[in-house]
Amino acid sequence: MTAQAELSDFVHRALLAGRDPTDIRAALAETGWTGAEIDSAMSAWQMRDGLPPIPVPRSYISAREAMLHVLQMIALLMVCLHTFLLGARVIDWLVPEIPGQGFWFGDVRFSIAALIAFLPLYVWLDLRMARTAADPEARRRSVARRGFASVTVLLAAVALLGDLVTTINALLAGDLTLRFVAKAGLVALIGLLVAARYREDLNG
Amino acid sequence: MASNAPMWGLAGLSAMVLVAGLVISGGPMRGQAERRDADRRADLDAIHMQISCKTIESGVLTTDAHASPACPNVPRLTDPHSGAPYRVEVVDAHNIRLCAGFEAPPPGQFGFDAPDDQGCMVQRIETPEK
Repeated sequence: MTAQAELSDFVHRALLAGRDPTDIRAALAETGWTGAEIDSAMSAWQMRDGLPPIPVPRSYISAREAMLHVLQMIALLMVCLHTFLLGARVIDWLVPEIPGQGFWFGDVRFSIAALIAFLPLYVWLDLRMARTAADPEARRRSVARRGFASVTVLLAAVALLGDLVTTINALLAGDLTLRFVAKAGLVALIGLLVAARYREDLNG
Repeated sequence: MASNAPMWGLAGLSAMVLVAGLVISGGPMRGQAERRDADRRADLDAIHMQISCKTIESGVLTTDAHASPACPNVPRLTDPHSGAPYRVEVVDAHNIRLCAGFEAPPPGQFGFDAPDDQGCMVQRIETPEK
């Protein structure tokens, strides 16, 4: 049994024996447990008249849920990456630097293929994960969900910051063409949509 | 509960970009046409090399691309996909025009040495100094 589990077990037995929570805290503090450890152990149990100490639900990690979130993240990354790459090529085609400039479609086709494969998968996974987390308490306690949201929002923030830096740099270098602004706008739009979608999942 | 509107916004944006990509790339038909054009381009390059060899062999610019003892290569002289013969025309003493029935639009896809809008390329032939 881990130290934290032993502490929780002690608190449970002490509450079951009718000891006052204040006395329990004092005894634990005198023994050397830290305030955070005591708070964590005490908050794991709730007292109700006529009932033994009630265990409070804790955060959980589900391997299956974690796998689905990782797959969702991969699908989201592929969708964002190839939406930008393909969108940039569409912008190049619509706004050529030099009139009559040649255009090769090889990379366009690969991005089309990637979006056809990953976009439906991402939409399906996102809707599925949203359904399984319809219960606000379950969503709040899911470590995998919060972890996925944290990484996703972080990457979106980094992309937005990188986009801002690149735009300012282009402005200073006199390279702020219509083509560049359109591409920077596309990156910003993708980043903002991703951040908006997963911001609420950060804290459940 | 987290709203799904941003997710649908991202999906909609991706779908729009996907459709635009399909429109500008022309889909599988365009890809097949580009591969056929690549075959035609390779054939014209082979004809160019054969004519260069024959010109060095004879000492004068020629449009005859058939094999000879010193130039044994046998380039394809007709389009393998349409059956139409490739056209070889003399431009001047040092240049020939090679033409084929290219299908994909020729917007200088392969740089400066690309077919023009008639499907023709002008190639220089080095003739031996007399």
